[in-house]
Amino acid sequence: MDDKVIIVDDEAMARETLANLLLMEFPQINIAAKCASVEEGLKAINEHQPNLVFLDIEMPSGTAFDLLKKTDNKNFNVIFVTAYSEYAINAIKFSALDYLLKPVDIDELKSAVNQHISAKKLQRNQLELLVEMLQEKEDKKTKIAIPESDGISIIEIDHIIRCESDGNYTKIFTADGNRIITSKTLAEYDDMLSGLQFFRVHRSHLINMNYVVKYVKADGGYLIMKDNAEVEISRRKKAEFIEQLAALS
Amino acid sequence: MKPYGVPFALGHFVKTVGADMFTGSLGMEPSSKLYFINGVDTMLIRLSKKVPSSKSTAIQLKDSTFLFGKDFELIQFDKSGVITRLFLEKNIQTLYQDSRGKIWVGLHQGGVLCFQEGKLINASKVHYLGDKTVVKIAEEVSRGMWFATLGNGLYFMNEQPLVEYSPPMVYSDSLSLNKLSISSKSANSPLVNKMERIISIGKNEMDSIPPKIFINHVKLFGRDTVVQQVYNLPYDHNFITIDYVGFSSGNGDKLQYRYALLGLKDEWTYTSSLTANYNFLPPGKYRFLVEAVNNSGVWSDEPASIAFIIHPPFWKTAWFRITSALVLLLVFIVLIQWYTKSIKQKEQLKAELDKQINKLELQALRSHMNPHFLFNTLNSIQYFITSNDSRSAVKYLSKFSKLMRTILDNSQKSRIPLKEEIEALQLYLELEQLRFKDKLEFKIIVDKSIDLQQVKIPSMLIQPYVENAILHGILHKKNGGVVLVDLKQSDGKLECIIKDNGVGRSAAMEIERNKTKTHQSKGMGITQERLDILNRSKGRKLNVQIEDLMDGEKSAGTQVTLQIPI
Repeated sequence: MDDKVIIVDDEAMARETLANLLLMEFPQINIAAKCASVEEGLKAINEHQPNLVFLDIEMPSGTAFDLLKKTDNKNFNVIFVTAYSEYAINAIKFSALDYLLKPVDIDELKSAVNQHISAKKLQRNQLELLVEMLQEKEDKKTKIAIPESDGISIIEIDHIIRCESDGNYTKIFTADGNRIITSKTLAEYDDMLSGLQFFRVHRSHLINMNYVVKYVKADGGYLIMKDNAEVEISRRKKAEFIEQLAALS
Repeated sequence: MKPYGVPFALGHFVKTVGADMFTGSLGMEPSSKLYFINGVDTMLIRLSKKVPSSKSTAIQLKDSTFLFGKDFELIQFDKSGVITRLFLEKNIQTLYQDSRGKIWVGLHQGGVLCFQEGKLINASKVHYLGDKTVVKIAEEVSRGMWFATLGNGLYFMNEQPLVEYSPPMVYSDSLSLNKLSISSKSANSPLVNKMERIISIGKNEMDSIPPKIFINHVKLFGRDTVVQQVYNLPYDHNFITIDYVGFSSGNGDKLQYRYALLGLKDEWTYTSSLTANYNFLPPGKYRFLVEAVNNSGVWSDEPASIAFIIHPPFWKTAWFRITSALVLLLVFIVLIQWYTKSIKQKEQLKAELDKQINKLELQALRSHMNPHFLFNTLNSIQYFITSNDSRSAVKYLSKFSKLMRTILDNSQKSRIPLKEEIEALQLYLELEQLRFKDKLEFKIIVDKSIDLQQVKIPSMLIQPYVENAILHGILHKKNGGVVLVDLKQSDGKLECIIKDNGVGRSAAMEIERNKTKTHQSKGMGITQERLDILNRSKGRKLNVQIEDLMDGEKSAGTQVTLQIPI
């Protein structure tokens, strides 16, 4: 295995912990460098050209994003590591990137690393999306990365008409008539998008309010969306939905 | 004219009954003598007692005998001489025989006696009217007897014979009552009617003309006013004096009066006074009526009258009462509303403050248990585990637990003993030292004079400043630095100095500005808010001073001075 790994974390013990855990699970892994700051990290990346970088988000000298911004050649995948889920995590989620919470869960670590070892897919687009997002002001997110079976689609959030739950998968319907099936759950998209113009009208439906064409009261209430789809509204959500609809107009 | 042989001068007392005449003398003899002269004979009756009195009375009875009364003595006689002589217990005032022959004797302070069989037999006599002085007796045929008393009014006794009282009519002058007789004249008012029936108009023409009556003064509170027909008076002008006077066509008759104030009492008041007084008249409408009566019992044909309207005080008028009741009600409602509103507001304010305090307590808890610190510490412990250093893992895990326990316990209390705050601080610093190794040194200096148990401070107050010193002062320094916590007590205040030899505030800010923001720095903001709240609710000022330490031109760290009231 020729996977080269770099760990960037300001705390020595955190670096060592991660190294220990990685070696426990992947004895043949090549930990090329352990860096304590953004500067050291940048240097090591240039020097070693790693496949995978573990990045601690918050460091006294600068953040993981500072490092990413300064890296021109993003020919590596990133797994973020952080002690606390703060709002930067949201941007990471939008970019469909991986992150681990400290203290690191060994199973999560294993599955994250395995994906990068087997898939050999580069996250370049996602990293660029992330950097782009972080440069904009907070909550001005316009795009989202959606992992598919054959890659990652980056789409405009405004183009999403609705998301529909399908077991552990989610079907995303876009304005240009595409249907994307992703392995993330509807709950995750609800989490990310409900702060925007999206509303969960039903256990299985998350809709973009801007694409509602008609609200039909008959049969317990349902919506007709721009793509002519009929979306059921659950009884519990009706009042809140009408309120939101009123606020929109 | 034929001379009579009377051996003394006439005139001591003379009484005539029809053409017959009684005369008597007041001689020096042991008893008085009564002569009866009837034009044919002269008869002498000796009286038992010599009393110099003109009070004698005589009537002729139906059997043509005469009845003569003087003092205690009642004598029945005819031309042939005395038939019966009775001595009564009281002086005789008047004599009367009614249509059925009963003989009535009015007595001075002895009521009236009735000889029911028309004969002067002691056994048949009946006594009425107690000890009243009966001065005149008259009969209303087929109804009953009237008795005029001196000072006790008129009495009527019907056939049964039960005594029925007329309204008391007090006459100071008995003379008018001597004219008591019955006539059938009627009038409207029962009172007047009764009077008309029992007081006959005398023979004197003048006496039949009703007296005139005038109201000549109306005084309010003793002050004279122009006499008006109607007086509109305020409630406090209710002391009213009315003077009136009557004029009779008779010769110097002493007039009697009666007056009434309709609206107060619909009854006549009889008087000889020329003034009527009314004090403390309640508000209302009144009509004052006054009439005069002459000696012959003839009343004024029209009473003099005046109307009074005493207006209630404004606070007694209906509109005022209703208005004031409404105003009161309104004020009451407004007050209640205002009161409930203010209570609600107060509660709301308090609830808000409480909420804010609670929120901040929670935030303080969170700032104290900075999640980064928390999870990074756990991560460090994970390191010992992965490095098979179970001794260190156990040591730091227990330290961590101890700190968590202290923080959780203290977060419930608003103030904790300084001892506990220092212990928590010590644990916190030890754990931070574990993370940053030799980059962090610390020292806590506590003045020995401080009673660590007694001095109490708000919990989790110092720690955020210490954490700040580490994260923004020392960690930015390549070779790390020292945090010094120095506690002193002075003037009821605890002075806490947190001093670091880190990069200083301006450098730290510069570094932060260049970093991509990954989170909002909340710790110090929360602490400041908490200080504001504590200062607001306690009224004691908790002071924070931040100084930049300089070493010549170079920054040499930051010093925070907390002054905590204790």
